[in-house]
Amino acid sequence: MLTLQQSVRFFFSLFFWIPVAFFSLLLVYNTLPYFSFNKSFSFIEERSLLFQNSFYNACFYIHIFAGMFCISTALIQFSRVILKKAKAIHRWSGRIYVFVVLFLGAPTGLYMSFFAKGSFWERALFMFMAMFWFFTTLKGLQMILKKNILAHKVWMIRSYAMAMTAVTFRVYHLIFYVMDWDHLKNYEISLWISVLGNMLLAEWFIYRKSKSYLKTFAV
Amino acid sequence: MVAAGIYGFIDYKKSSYDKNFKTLYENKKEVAVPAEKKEIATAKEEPAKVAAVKNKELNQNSTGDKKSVVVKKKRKVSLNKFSRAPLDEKYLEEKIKVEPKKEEIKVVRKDSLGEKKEQ
Repeated sequence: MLTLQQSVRFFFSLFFWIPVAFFSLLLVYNTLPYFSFNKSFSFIEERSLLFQNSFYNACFYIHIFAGMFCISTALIQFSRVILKKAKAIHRWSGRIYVFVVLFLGAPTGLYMSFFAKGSFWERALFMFMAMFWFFTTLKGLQMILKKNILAHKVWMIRSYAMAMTAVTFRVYHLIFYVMDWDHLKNYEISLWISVLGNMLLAEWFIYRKSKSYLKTFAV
Repeated sequence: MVAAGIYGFIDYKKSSYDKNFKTLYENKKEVAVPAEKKEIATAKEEPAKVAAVKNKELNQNSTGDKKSVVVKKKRKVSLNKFSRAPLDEKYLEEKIKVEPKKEEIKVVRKDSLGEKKEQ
């Protein structure tokens, strides 16, 4: 039998994870057509000059492949059921996630950030995102290798928050689009809100998770 | 990661000298705007009868003309829009434009032939 506190927690976790899973899978689904390598997508048309560079071209396809992988594997990583009953799945999908972020997603993201849409500050933000994503994932890996599970969780929450900016950005972007905002203004504000919002949300989750641990330091 | 940063910076420096790169995200905006003005200008140049017929048709069915009339619809959310595609009117308008009716094409052709004969 579930207690009231447990059922409230269960309800809130559903309230959080259902939209997260839905939008993540939707983004993965909408990314699949890009692998037809057709150039008629408006995203590619807009950057047609950049796509003439074969290195940028390769980076783009590697980046979206990595993003798809990270977003979908990360959905499994936070499942308590999988973590308790099938640790092997958690370990292997974690290894894939770390490899994809460190060797594919973050480096290609950093390269592409130099050519991103927006002003200097938006490009700087993209650079920061790529570096922070790389750093948090690396720290998460280091912590689990040292068997420090609490620190591993903390760094991986931060890493996942960065990966999820791709999803939250599009949610804000669509909301502001419906509100009839100018495209560039919408793009820039959505980007800043998604990055800062995800970081703050991650820190709030970390604070909640480590609350009992922090209490042990209290005199 | 360091290599990606250095390579990106070098490539950025190289392409920053390119004029097309500087206006990469602005270029297409300028092209999309003056479509409506063009049509008005040509209608004025044509003989009065032809212009009158065209204006009548435009009034009767404003969605019929493919080149000039851009139908602005209320912004709606669809699952397809949750992708990398920029949510910019200049890209979305292209999809909204309606195909012209066959009758209209005939009328325009006759007029243009008439003009050529007169010339």
